[in-house]
Amino acid sequence: MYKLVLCWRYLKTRYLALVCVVSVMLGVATLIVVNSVMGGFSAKLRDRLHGLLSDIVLEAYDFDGFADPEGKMRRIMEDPLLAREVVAMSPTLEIFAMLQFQFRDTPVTKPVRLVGIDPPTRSAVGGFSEYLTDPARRDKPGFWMDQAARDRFERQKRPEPLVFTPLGGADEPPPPEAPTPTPKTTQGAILGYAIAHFRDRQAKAEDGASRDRRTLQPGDEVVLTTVSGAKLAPVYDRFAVVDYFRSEMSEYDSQFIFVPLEHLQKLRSMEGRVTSIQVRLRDYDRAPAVVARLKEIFVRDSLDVQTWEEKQGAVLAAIRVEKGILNILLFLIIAVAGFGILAIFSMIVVEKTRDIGILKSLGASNWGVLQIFIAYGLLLGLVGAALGTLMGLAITVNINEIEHFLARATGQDIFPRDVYYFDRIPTEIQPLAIGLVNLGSVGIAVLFSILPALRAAMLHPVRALRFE
Amino acid sequence: MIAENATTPVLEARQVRKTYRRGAIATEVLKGVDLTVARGEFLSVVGASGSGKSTLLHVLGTLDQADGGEVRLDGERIDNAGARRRDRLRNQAFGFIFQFYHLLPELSALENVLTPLYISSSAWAWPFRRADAVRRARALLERVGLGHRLDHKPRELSGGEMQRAAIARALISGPRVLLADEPTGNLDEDAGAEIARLLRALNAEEGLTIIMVTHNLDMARSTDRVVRLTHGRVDLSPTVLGNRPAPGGHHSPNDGDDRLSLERRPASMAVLGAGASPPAHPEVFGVGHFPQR
Ligand SMILES: Nc1ncnc2c1ncn2[C@@H]1O[C@H](COP(=O)(O)OP(=O)(O)OP(=O)(O)O)[C@@H](O)[C@H]1O
Ligand SMILES: [Mg+2]
Repeated sequence: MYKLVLCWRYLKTRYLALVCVVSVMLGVATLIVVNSVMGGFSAKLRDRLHGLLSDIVLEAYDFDGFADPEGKMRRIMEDPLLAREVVAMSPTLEIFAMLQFQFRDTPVTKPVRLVGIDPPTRSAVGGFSEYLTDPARRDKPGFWMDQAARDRFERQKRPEPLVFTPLGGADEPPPPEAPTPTPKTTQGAILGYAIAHFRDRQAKAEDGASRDRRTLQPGDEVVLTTVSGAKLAPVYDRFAVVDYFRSEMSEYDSQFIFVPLEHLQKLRSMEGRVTSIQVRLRDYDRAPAVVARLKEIFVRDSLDVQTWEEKQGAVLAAIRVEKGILNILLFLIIAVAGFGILAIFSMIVVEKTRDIGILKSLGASNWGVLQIFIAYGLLLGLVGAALGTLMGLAITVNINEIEHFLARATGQDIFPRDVYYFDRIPTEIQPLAIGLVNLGSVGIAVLFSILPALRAAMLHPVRALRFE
Repeated sequence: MIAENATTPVLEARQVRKTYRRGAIATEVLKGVDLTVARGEFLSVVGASGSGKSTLLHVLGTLDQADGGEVRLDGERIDNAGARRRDRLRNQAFGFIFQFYHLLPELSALENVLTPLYISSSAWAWPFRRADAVRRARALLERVGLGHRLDHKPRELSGGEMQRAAIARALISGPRVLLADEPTGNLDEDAGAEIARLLRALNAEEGLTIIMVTHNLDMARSTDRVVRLTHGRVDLSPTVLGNRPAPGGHHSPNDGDDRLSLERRPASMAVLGAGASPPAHPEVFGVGHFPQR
């Protein structure tokens, strides 16, 4: 009983002990904020890394791809396990290409990754239609042009083909091969958002918000040059911009151009061949079993079967390692708080030596005295951790407001949104992490109070009473 | 208190030795102390500074362990008791009072008095014991004249008041022996006299057994018996002041005890009986006769 009474009194009357509480509190709060922000960033990053990738990708090892995707998809659906797990599939043809267009009468050339897709099935697989900027197209994915784009296209239509300098410079380039069956109509293309826009930093300085300048409007014409399938001969065609693709993952937004799969197959003389099949699962947790089964089925087809996580393995691993190291470093903060407790407790034990003697003369046992100081440490840890958790959560929830305030107060942009494409600092409050942080900090507080507590308990009562 | 055979001394020390060692230097503080204390006796221990009075009190009260000899409480050996039993004895059988009061500064007077009960009670049992305990603590504080200072912290009390709170604390668990180490050593004359009067009253009215170490010879003289420690032993020379005349009336613990002591170890007590011998060293001990309470 006296243990509780004394603990409580000591906590109330020792202002020095508040230093321990504050240091534990700050440590816990920091850990929680950093964890939540890191968690938010990595969740967002994961999302974006997943982005275009379907849950599982069956991929050819080279650009020539593999034949008969329909037959393969049929084989997948015939397997009972896969039929149960697979929700959607879409064949895809991906190849490097050069994009050329006119901007303010100067020709512009950019390297891109050209992806031939079948919009309805690709949308079903996920990671496509939800990133389109035109809301109408999200409901009805496809390469159709709306009226405004069509008008612009008609207005700009030139009798002569677009002028562009062929690749290869002064040397005689291999003459571009005309596309085998000349298409009657110009096909639509969906461009990565960053391909068709650039950030105007001047504009930003004036009105505060950054502004994206568009270099290609819907209806503008572009030329895409790539190579044909097996022969690797250059081929090109004209496309009309119909929409933009904005996944907020700059790697994708600045490189990908989507065009109709069948048209790209014809352009490249692929005869129905594709480079990959995108697969969506009912439950991603069962991906390993599905991958194993797929590998079994396509063991002869020289197909690579990977989950999206395996494809992004290096980046994901880097995020994990980074988070782990950061947590370890931050835990040192709490260890520092622990040493504070050790120092302050040692002082309190010295200061309380006589009282310890008194308690023993009144019949308190060594164990009882030990308990007082351990409970005291526990109490400091608990109070510190509780306050720290509250503070950490408060900061996490209001982090954007705090950042705004700091940015205004200091005139420094702490979180440049255009770098990350985020409009808010992402946070993710992880109950498990918060629990662990609390447990760890209370544990450290108790651990570091054990040594002084033992010293107090071992004090000889007479020597303690004679202590001046 | 446990009802014991009237002839059994409440506390008895036999050939108690205590040596302090610091490195190679050993200081033998108690060199074989014999002492018998009867129930209800008010005994004072005098002696030069450093003669081992405090040490003896600590050994008797199980705060410290003797290196040799025996200590018996109501006939049972306690010097060799284990840690738990010693803790319990300190909590229930002995009450300590110190020169510097030794109250816990964080607690109010009332809480200080309650501390021994806090210690003996678990946190679960406390709510059930609390009301009764507080009543007893209040009554004791009233008894020592501190009824109006219940909620004061030690630093808000005078020395005399702190010592009275300390006495109440020593009494709360109904000890068999009260061990007082220079209870008036830090007080002015008036406050010291107050404390002395209080202890005498407790002894007379409640039959409390008290062993008091003191340098104040007037106080010593007013007790039932005086024992002098010299060089780690109970002084056998008839130099110690006599006691007041054998108390008649309400209680006379001394008679039995004296007889007992005389029978067992006729010479072990310094001076017994009613002011038998004149003081041999009046310059040390002051004058031989003493006011009655
Ligand atoms: N821890 C210790 N180590 C060594 N010597 C000690 C220790 N404690 C006490 N002593 C010695 O033991 C002797 C007796 O001490 P004690 O306190 O019992 O004397 P005392 O009679 O109470 O003196 P005073 O009247 O001044 O209170 C002293 O000489 C003291 O120096
Ligand atoms: Mg002393």
